[in-house]
Amino acid sequence: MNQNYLLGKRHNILGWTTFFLVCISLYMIFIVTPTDVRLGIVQKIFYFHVASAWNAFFAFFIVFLTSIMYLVKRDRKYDVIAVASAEIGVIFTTIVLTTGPIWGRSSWNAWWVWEPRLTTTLILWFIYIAYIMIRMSDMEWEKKSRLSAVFGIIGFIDVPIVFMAIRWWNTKLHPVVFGEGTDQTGGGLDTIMLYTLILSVFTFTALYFYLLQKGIAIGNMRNKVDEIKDNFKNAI
Amino acid sequence: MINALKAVIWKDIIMEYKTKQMTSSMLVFSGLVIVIFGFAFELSIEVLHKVLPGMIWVAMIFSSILGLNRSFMLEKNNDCMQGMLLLPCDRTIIFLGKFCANFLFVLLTQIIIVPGFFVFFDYRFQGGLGLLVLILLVGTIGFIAIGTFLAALASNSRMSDMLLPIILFPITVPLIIAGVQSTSLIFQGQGFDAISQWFYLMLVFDVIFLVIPYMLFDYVMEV
Amino acid sequence: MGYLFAAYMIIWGLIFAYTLSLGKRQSSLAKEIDIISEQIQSMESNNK
Repeated sequence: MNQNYLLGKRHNILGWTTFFLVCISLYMIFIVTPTDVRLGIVQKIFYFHVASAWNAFFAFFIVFLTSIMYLVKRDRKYDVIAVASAEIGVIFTTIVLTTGPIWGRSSWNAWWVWEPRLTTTLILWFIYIAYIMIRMSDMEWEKKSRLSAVFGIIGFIDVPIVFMAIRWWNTKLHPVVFGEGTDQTGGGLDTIMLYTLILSVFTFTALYFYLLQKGIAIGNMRNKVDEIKDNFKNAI
Repeated sequence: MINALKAVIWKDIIMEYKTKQMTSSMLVFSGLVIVIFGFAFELSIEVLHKVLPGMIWVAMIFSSILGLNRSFMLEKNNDCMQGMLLLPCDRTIIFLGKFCANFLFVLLTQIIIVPGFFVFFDYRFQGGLGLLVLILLVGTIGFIAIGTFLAALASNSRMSDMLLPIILFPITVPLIIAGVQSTSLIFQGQGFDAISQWFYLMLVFDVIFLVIPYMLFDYVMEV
Repeated sequence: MGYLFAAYMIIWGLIFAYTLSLGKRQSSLAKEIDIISEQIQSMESNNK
């Protein structure tokens, strides 16, 4: 098994790149972009909130792809990527779910709104927590990988349906103008804000790949150590 | 192929007929749900009107979990699953067979429990009965389809009965939303037009989550 | 302003905590590798 668990120079370069992107993003967010007239300074949560959300979705898409690849090719490297990606996805989703209420509390004085995107994110969180629980359960690794790959596929397919259902549910119950408030694109986004947003998204994407590389290396190391232990036990 | 399907379904039915484990526990549990809801909420007629659709679906969901857990746990005992895998037919027949059997048992439970709700809460149901039956059917089909599949998946682990709710509920959220909303509308006396959106959503859900498990069941059942 | 601070603390707190957990996993794996290599070495010296 030619698994790579050594993190070389490219990983460090990625790390520094991420760091610099974060610095530039923070500069853009706090120094360059103007304070939003309506929402005040709290609006600045929005940049990393949205960046986190999009990259969480991207992470789960990677889980979906690698799950399919694993079932087709049975190469363990896809399984390693899937787990790492799912974990990062859950972290990013948690960020969205915690910054969302903070924004909500300060803007509309409500900790939680049953707003379509936030609620879908909540369900997304539960789906991928379920994925991680399958991985944490007590089975041989081959079974675990196979079953979590199946669930990875089912979970991702469900997401658009969940979003549609929640959106319809919401429009019937709360026909409010929250959509504008949450992502600002309805209210006309300043160009500088748009650029900062795009920069934030890319920053988090770099962060995603950095954490993913670490996660893959650890996954491969874990598998290698287990393999050595098994060989060792058999040799005794 | 049809014979194999019939055999799988018949086996489950016979087992259930002899032991009456699944249906009895589902019935009792749903009955308890009715009672607990009676205590838990102050049910004046206005509140009841709003809350009853949700309660019906909650009862269905939680009692189905009991049934689904049991459905595959039985196979794990005495390695019955290995025996079934030796059937000279497509393994997906096992999925379809189990799905049909589970659906039947849940349906039986619902036939008793839904009127039970109306009786215990003294609720005069005015609305399209046919529509209500339709929505409950379509919703139950979807729930049991993906439920059977995920129960098979979860049965591979030792904590299968804890795992199943965790993996099943998030996936079935669209179904629950659609079911409760359309049932609610039906209670208000609306016709098919009002619920058509939800109905089609549930239909799409049913199709997707019958087809995808059908394709993926082989992967779940690998030895 | 306080809310903004809290939000940013949470974002970077979570990321930092995850990175720390990755680091911990790495060092525990390294420790396991050490233990196993020790055992292998002691076995080899016993065999000799």
